[in-house]
Amino acid sequence: MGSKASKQDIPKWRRSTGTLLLFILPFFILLFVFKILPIFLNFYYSLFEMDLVKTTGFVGFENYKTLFNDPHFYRVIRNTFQYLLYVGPVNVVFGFLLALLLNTKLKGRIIARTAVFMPYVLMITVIGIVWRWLLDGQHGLINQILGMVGIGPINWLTQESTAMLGVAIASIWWTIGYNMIIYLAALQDIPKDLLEAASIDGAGPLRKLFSITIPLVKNTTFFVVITTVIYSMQMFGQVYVMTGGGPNYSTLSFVQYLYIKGFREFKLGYASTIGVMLFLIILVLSAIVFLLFMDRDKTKKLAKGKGDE
Amino acid sequence: MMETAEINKKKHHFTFGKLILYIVLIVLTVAAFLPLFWILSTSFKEMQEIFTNEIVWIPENPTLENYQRAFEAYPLVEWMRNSILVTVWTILLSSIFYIMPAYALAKMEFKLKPLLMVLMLATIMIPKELSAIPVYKMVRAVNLMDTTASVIIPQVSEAIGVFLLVQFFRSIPDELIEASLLDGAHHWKILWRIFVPLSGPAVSVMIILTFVNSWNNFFWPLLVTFSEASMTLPVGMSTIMASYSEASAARQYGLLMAMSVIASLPTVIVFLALQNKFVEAVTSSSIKG
Amino acid sequence: MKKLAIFVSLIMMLTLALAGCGGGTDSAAPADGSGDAAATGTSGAGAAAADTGDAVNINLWAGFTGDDAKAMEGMVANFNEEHPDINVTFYTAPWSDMFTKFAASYGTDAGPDAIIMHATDIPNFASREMIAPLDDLTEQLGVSADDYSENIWTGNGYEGVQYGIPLDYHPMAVFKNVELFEAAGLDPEMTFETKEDFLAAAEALTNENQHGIALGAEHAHSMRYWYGLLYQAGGEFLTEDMSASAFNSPEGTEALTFLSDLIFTQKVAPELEADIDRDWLSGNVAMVIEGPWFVPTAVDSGFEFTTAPFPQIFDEAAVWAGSHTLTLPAQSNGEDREAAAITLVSWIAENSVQWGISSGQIPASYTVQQSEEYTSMDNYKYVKAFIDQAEIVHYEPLIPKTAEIGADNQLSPILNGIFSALRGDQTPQEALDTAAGEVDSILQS
Repeated sequence: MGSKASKQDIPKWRRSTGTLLLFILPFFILLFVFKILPIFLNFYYSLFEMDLVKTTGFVGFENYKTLFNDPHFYRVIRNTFQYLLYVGPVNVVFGFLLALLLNTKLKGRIIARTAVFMPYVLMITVIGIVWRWLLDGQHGLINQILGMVGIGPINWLTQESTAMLGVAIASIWWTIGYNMIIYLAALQDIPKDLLEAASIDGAGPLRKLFSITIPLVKNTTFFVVITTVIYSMQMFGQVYVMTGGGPNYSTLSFVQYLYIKGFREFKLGYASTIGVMLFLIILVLSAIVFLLFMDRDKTKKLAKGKGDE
Repeated sequence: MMETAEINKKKHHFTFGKLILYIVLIVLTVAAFLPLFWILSTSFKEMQEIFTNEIVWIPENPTLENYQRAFEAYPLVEWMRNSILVTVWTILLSSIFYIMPAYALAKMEFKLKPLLMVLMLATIMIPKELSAIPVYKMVRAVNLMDTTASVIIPQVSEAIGVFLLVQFFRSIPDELIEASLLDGAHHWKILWRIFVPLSGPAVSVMIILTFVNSWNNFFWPLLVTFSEASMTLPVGMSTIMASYSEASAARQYGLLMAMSVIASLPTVIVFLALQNKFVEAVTSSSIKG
Repeated sequence: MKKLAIFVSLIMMLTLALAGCGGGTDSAAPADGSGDAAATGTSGAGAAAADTGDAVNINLWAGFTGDDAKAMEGMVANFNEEHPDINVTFYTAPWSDMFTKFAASYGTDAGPDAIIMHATDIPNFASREMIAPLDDLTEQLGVSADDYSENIWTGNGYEGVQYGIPLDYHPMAVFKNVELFEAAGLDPEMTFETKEDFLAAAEALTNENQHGIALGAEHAHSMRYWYGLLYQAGGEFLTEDMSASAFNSPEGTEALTFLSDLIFTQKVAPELEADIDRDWLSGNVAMVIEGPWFVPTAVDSGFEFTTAPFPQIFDEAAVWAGSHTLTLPAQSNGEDREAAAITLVSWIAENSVQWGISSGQIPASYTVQQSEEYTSMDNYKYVKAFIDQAEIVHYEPLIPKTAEIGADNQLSPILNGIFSALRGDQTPQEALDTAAGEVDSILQS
């Protein structure tokens, strides 16, 4: 296909204002009202003591002060990072390994792909309900299987030490297929001749993996890492259904805390403050991930001049 | 472990390495599949069989009682109807609202274009929950609480859908537009008569993404729906579990698994029927991370 | 693309079909405004009344689950039958959910016209001006303070203003599995007058297959047990002016130590117990301490059981209790709906015998409690143990902050403190000290 038209002279048809407005406005009005404006409003709300029914008044940074003295807030941050620590590495590394495995010419890999990917299309409520059952302390399948090899029984979701792990296991089952699929697409984009050439040069499989495959899927890894981080920060449905934040706050997540403060205790101003903090944390983390990948990305681009897209 | 397996496989083409790979493959498939099977199996079990201390893979006296009770005890039909309404409307509206700006952003030139693109990108990165409180207040202010409309409309603002289409539209040659314009067609007509038919793959990817997101959307409908008039399946089902500390309702596992099966059927069927499209939808949403 | 088109049209057809049958099964009150062809049909309420258009549609909301929900559904159906001019739609969800939705609906006309809540919820909503004072309405409602025990009636107010009409009250009692009691050589009719009584029974009922009593590790009841014992030991939950915690006293610790010892020292209660009701219903434990709402479930379970008042462990007589109360929202949905709501509330109060019989809860009204119809019901022998405790009940504090520190809030520091003591993560003293600090900071904020 003739992919790109020359840009030297811009034909008149590209500038028909009427059409432009008709095409652009409806969507961008929605985008503005539901996505952009709310971000600013959220900052604004965080400066008020606000109820669902009435707004008591402007309190300046009082909500922030309360938040920084709120032990639950630190608990929530700790929990969220604990979750990220459980889910992140597994999702990225095993997502990649799974993709590697399914990128081979094995028979039945389509079935395997289906099985691993299928949970991703289920709704989070179903995931939560199902895993509550699977992780049930007395009659859950997981404990019964562990019991056969002499482990357990573990009260997964009813003791502090394992509750978050239980939530993480459910989440991994739910999302790992997504990462796998994305890696799989990236792997399929790697030119075959590149790998063959390396083989001819005598590079072993490990060598090829580390010096060709992994560098070539770097952009994908960046994407996977950043979405994993962002989604982990936003984790909600799992704990809402599986543990309700317990036992003893050990699975209380950021968004759930926002939900409880705003919509259970009706402190909308305070909940907005939590939202602002969540936003800032995600911003910082994204920046860190971005910087981590930036550096080497540049050198790679110099060498290859080729992304994974 | 898998890496070494990979190595072995390459070294001696047929033998040991491949065997290990197959074993890994089978184990993984079974591990991923087991929970799904267990859901299905539990949903057909009687109470006593659920709470035994042995693993019963296949129920001895399969019963439909759980399914029957699911429909009797909970307004599953209403939830399902709301979910379908929400999803269909979201897909319809998204198709219109995303396709139009995608055309303009792909093919037209205007000053604000770069800014709009950046804004869209920014909204993809920003967590949905952040807009929840302000939008919640808006919905209250216009008296749309507890309506399907309040669930649908805010969902029709996902920039990712537009991005997908922009990418695809760019690859359609300008000559097509120019020729049609010469024939006296308007952009509106060109978009719907030429671009959309040509963009089947991209549009269907967009629709699938919208379908899954909308069907599974939880946080937002949880905030704005509160009666059978508007509660969607994920929210409805969560109300059974929300009473987690008053545990008994939340422990009728046979019933809950039956409901899970029913709630998952639509996505699972679509997934199985259009698996490749699904894979495409997911991967294309990742481009430009 | 073709496949997709077929799929989309299939879904559309399905929608229409569902919308059709949704409207067909029961054409109850359309909860207004949903705007779609698919007018809502509400399950359960069974409002058979064909929409004549003249009937006033109102909503009654509550946080009932299980048998309570069924009982109230039945009452609403009866009310609708008796009142052709009013059509009540009953909506119920778990309490915290219902309140979230009440707040969400506030200011719209899709919300409730009458709400059933706990007496302890009144201060929270009264202070937020979300429920209406009833002082001027009591006559219209046809109720009088004389018909209720004084602490129950005044417990339905906030700062001297009446906000609720008591529907019932619900202390706790011991449910005993007769078969297991007899197998252990105990009298199933026994009551627990002293700590020794209770421990001896619990020990006799414990063997390798079963435990004596259910305590729970994540059930809000655990806090309710402790709350009763705290007052039995002579402790107080908050200081008298309700401005600070008072429960990490020797009495509070003694109460909690008693409970955790049942699990870890005497080992008569299961560790890390997830579901006290199921354990009792399946015979894994011989006793469970539950509220009167558990009576219908226990009766339905089919096995033989008896009830006894909450065990007397320490010196004072005390038991935790809650109370359901009928309230009206502060916002007006128009005169017609207000009038209909008043009719509904007074009808429910007047007919609470129906509620008592089918839900198991103890009707708050003396008239109803002593009525022939109530005392002659089949389940009276089971609820007697609850009625006998009427004079010793202790509510959670009637202050707005109870919404944050009470047993119903999953973030409650005390609830979580008690859980961690009962899981063995903290000693009772540690758990209560931590909780006390957090409660103080909540009360001061």
